[in-house]
Amino acid sequence: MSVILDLIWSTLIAAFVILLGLRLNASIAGSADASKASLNVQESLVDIVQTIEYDFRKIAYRIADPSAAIIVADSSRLTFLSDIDNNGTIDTVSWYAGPKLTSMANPNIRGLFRSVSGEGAVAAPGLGVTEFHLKYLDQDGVEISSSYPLPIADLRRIWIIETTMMIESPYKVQDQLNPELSYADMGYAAAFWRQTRLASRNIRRHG
Amino acid sequence: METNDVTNSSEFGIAAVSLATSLVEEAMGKMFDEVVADTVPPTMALSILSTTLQKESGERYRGGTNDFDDIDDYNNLFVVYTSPNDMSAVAGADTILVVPGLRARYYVRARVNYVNSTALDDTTSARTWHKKIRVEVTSPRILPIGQAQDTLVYPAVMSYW
Repeated sequence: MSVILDLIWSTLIAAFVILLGLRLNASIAGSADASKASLNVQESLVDIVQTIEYDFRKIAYRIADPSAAIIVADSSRLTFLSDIDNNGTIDTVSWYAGPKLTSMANPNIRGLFRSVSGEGAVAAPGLGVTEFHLKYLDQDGVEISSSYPLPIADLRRIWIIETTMMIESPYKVQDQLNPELSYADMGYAAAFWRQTRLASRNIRRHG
Repeated sequence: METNDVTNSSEFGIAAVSLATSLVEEAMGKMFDEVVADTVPPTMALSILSTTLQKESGERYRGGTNDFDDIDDYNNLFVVYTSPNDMSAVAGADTILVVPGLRARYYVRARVNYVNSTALDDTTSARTWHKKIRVEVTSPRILPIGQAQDTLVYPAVMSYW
């Protein structure tokens, strides 16, 4: 009898230890996944920001009338003139956010597009852009209008462009403080960027 | 835990860098000094530059027509960026800007001093042709492994010439 009891107890303890191991493994995997997702969104954000900063800095480059370089100023679209590739030809450069994508696990992800001189727009939905918002301020730091797109008459008043961007992971990740949360209650790894940038040093200097 | 700390720290660091560069970018778009912001003096000399670096009476950060017009108006500016979930007041803040999407509170402080071109790391009380803006960003969430609050510092120098 005591042998049977020993077997039962040892089986129970072994099962408990195995369950503990599996749980630990799941927790470590979830934590590693969350770290990787956070790293990915941060790298995506930095990549996009570098490209945006490069382009926005060149607004009006080699344009005869720099104050007329911005053609379209919308809340999630900017089109401007610039010799962006420094080849002597004026390019029309557009940045805009597309509609939300239905094919991603994260329903808030949208494509962020960049097109140069009407060539096929390039988008990168895998980067996980969930918010791309543009605000335009005048020389006094006042928002030109909250009604978009800005009328043509106001385009020349743009002095500062404020870019707000949020990148999220395509899937939810384990919560760092509460790893027991169900998938439905988890959140997305996210990285945020808000940049206030002079529309371009090529346009004019404050004074 | 250490990996999570590093990830969190870099996430908040990215946002902090964006806020710091924004303020520097904005300040660098202003004039060098009050004496050249309103009028163009017939002769420029060090002796007519501002001795006290501060905003002029009535000027406010993002104050519309009373907005800052020269870089030293940013001296001692204290701007708080916060999320809509955390609207509590902050003592001494010049402006509290609510930014949907921010996941932490950020304190952005600016200092402006004259510097010599030969020693840009040192400030000087004498008037020179160079002003240095130093933006400091802190956040209760920027906690490195040692758990002491870290500060992101972003300096830039504007020259008159």
